[in-house]
Amino acid sequence: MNAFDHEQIDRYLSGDLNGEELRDFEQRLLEDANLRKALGTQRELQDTLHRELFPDQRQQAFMQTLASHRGSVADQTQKRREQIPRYVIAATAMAAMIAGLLFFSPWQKDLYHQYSSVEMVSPAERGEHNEGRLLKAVELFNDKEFASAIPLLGEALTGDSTNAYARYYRGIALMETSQLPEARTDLQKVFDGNSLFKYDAAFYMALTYLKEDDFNNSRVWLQKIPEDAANYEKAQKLLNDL
Amino acid sequence: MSIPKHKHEDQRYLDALVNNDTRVIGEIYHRFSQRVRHFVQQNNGSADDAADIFQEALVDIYNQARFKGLELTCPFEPFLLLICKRKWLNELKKNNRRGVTIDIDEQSNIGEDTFFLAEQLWADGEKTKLFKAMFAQMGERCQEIIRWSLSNKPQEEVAAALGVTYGYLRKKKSECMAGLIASINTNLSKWGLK
Repeated sequence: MNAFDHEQIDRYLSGDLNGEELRDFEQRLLEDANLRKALGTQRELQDTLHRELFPDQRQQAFMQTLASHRGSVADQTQKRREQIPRYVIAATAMAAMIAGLLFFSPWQKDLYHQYSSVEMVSPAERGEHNEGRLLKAVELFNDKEFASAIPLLGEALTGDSTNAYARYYRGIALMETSQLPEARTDLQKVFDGNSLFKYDAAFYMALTYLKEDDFNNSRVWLQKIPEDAANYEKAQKLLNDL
Repeated sequence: MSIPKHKHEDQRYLDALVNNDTRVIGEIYHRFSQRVRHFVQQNNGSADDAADIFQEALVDIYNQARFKGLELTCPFEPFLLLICKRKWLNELKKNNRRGVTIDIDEQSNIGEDTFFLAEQLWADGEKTKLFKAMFAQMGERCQEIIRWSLSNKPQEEVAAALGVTYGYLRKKKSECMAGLIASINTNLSKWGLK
């Protein structure tokens, strides 16, 4: 297999080969067992990675079911192996109850913290100059050093004001540091564009309002997230919690 | 020539996993997990290890049944137990821990079919692990490109989000994929796979 073969396989699997190119490739598939094998391997690899990287709702629900039963295998032994003092059990039960109350109680006000946690993914823009700066921004952002991440993201935006990636994360960092109007300016711009972050930006826009207990505006933004968006479920859940 | 096999009545367990039937999944845990726990604990493992192994086995069965149309032609219990056993043996081997002294299947009447199906399922699950491990070892740049490319977004949109041209994205993705496949092929035999 050479680089051209790999590119052809890739294009074939993406449905990107047409006309004569497609016919030629399919003819080669008939004649070349190695090519067929390589195609099979890549198809299997892509299907597996897709399934693992982007689990659908059914997979997620299934994993939750398994997680809910995990204790039935793990717990019993622990009880037998080491006698846990009663006060520890009581304290644990109390902690679990408090955690439950904090999470589910309708009167609690801290939905913002429940929903605002986000990790910055590593930079996708590959300009040599930008790479180090953005990597540093990722590090700071994920260490929750938002105030320090903001200027680095700002520099990236000075170089390229259309960089939705930097603008989206700067919007969140501004929100985390309570600079809400500035955060909204960034998130609004991302939402107005057509990047992958469009509806994530709508979600965080809702959180900027939630942060100041403006539930109405928060709802308005959550309702902008369409059913086919990846964060639709999360948005609906927050809407219910509101 | 292989003789077509009939679905075993225990196919209902696979259907329950695929359909996330919580009642029957509860039954699976109730009926089968204790033997696995006992086996793992008797062989140098903890109840937590058993819970992990049991869950992993169910996920592998789910993946095969849902995405590759696996149909059960043998009873479910020995099939599941064999997969768990194989997984635990592998774990022990990886960590240089003492081998198995007490067998899980010594009292079961296990047919050849069951061994074959369980071995195949174990290998598929292990392959998924290998794919994920090799993917995780790639440079961040390749991981990012593959991750975005495999999302269901239009590739032009992905290229724009990554700040590259569509042509560059396509070329880079196929380079990254080729690298990933090469590292997988190098490691297949080390992982006990063909």
